[in-house]
Amino acid sequence: MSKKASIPKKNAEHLAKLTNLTLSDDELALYSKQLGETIDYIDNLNELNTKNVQATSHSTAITNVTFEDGTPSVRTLTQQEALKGANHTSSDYFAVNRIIA
Amino acid sequence: MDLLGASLTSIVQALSDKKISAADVYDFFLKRSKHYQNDLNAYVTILDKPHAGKVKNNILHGIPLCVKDNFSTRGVRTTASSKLLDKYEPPYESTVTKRLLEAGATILGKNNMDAWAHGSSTETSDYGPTRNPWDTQRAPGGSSGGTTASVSAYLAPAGIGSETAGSIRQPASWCGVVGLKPTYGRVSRYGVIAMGSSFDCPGPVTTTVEDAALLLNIIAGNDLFDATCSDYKRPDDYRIGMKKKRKLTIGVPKEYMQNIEPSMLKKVEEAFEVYKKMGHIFKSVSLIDPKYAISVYTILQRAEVSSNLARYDGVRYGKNRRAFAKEAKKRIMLGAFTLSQGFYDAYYEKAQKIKTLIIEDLRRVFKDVDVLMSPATPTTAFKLGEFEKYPFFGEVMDVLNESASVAGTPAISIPVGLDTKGLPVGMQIMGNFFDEETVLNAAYQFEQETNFMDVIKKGINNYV
Repeated sequence: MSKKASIPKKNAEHLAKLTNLTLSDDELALYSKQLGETIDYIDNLNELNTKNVQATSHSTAITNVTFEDGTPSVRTLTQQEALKGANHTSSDYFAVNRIIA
Repeated sequence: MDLLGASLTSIVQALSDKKISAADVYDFFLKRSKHYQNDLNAYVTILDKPHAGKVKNNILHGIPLCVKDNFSTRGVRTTASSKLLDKYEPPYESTVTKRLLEAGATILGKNNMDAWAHGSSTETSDYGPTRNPWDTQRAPGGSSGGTTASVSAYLAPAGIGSETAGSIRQPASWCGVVGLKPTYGRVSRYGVIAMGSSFDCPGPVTTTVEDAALLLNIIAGNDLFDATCSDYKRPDDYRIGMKKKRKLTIGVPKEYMQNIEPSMLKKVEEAFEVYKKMGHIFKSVSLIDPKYAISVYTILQRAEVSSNLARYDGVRYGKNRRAFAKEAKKRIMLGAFTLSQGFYDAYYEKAQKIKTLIIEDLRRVFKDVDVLMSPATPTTAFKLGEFEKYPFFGEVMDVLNESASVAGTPAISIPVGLDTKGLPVGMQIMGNFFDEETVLNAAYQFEQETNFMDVIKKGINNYV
């Protein structure tokens, strides 16, 4: 089934950067190959005619779901609860690495 | 009361009649769960002290359940079988578990699963594979494999799993138990660790059809916290429609009877004969080849995975992204690819259009038939390790389940016999949108007629 067994390594590196994944060379090679195989497979969708067909995102087609004004917010976490799972906190805040150098 | 093999419904009755105490019931299942953990690895976490909540009604008073480890349980470790969440204790309760706790149930343990629900064998778990109770050299299926193995070996009287595409029905088929996937939006996803948000669907895993209906009664219905949850009307009690004496028109999609292991196909055809003898009418129908549903599912699900797993940054909870294992990284990469500029129309939008075609295809066929029947899986349980040989293992194992997941329609897997290797064979019954009642009705009629060919009983008797 495979025509173009893998995607270029350069493209895999770009995807890893976009998705914030740190990958080894071996992993990049593996995923390039697997991505290529998958893309070959899913190409079979072009066998079906979708001219004039609308796309469906959610099958139950519910739209404009909103809360009424004044709905009590029962899902709020306390600061303590929200911070409980964090590995790094500082003065009751999440601590993160510097973003702007 | 002899608890071994008792249905959830009968334990509810015994507790209500005070023939047995809640503490004794918990103790019975806790002991079994611990005793067989080494052999089966069905749990990530077993709870010595039951996880309980504020009780509003007592429908499930004193019933211990096992729950897949992707349901957030307040203050109870929830890992989705990924080491990234190894120590995560959610600060809130998922709607499904909240409703079960409000009904008086408790949670006995959190079941092993494929990590992030990415898989169909429970082998991608960071906590080691679950083993199939029918043959511990084999996989239980997945991703809800820990839950179906627990119910099959009777470590819990029932459990809750979740599906993105086949993750309840496929392991239910391989472990020889009842597994129901409701209509998308019938059961809230709030607090379920997200995989493919336009597919994800919680559902019951049980030893009887009535038990599945009983659990659906509790978990089904609209939820303010899930905007995709539907307020479409539901029966007050699914068991009433389930028990009606109905003569059904049963469609058999010919595309779903191809490439099935012969001894599996034979058992499913024998089940058809049972229905025919009961006076139900069979019709051969044609649907879009399920191989296209594999592609649609692969594209849309990977795209949603890449978005859903973007939140794991190690800042608010959990470890950082280096803790993702192979399968998650692969899916994140493919999702980012199909959503990227220049490819979006060719893949993502094309898949969404074919999703429309699959929905229309099912709506068309349900004008003529009440339910569709087919094997639930192309084969019975595979040996552990086999999946690595197949690049599309999960997708191929779930091929017969995917159209209902893409469309969002309900379906169930029930055991209909054993193959020549002595492994359980699952049959799938698909229904129309929000028509869980008819799906349950068809399954219940077979159970009443055959007691599932004693498959469930035989499974439990291996773990006396």
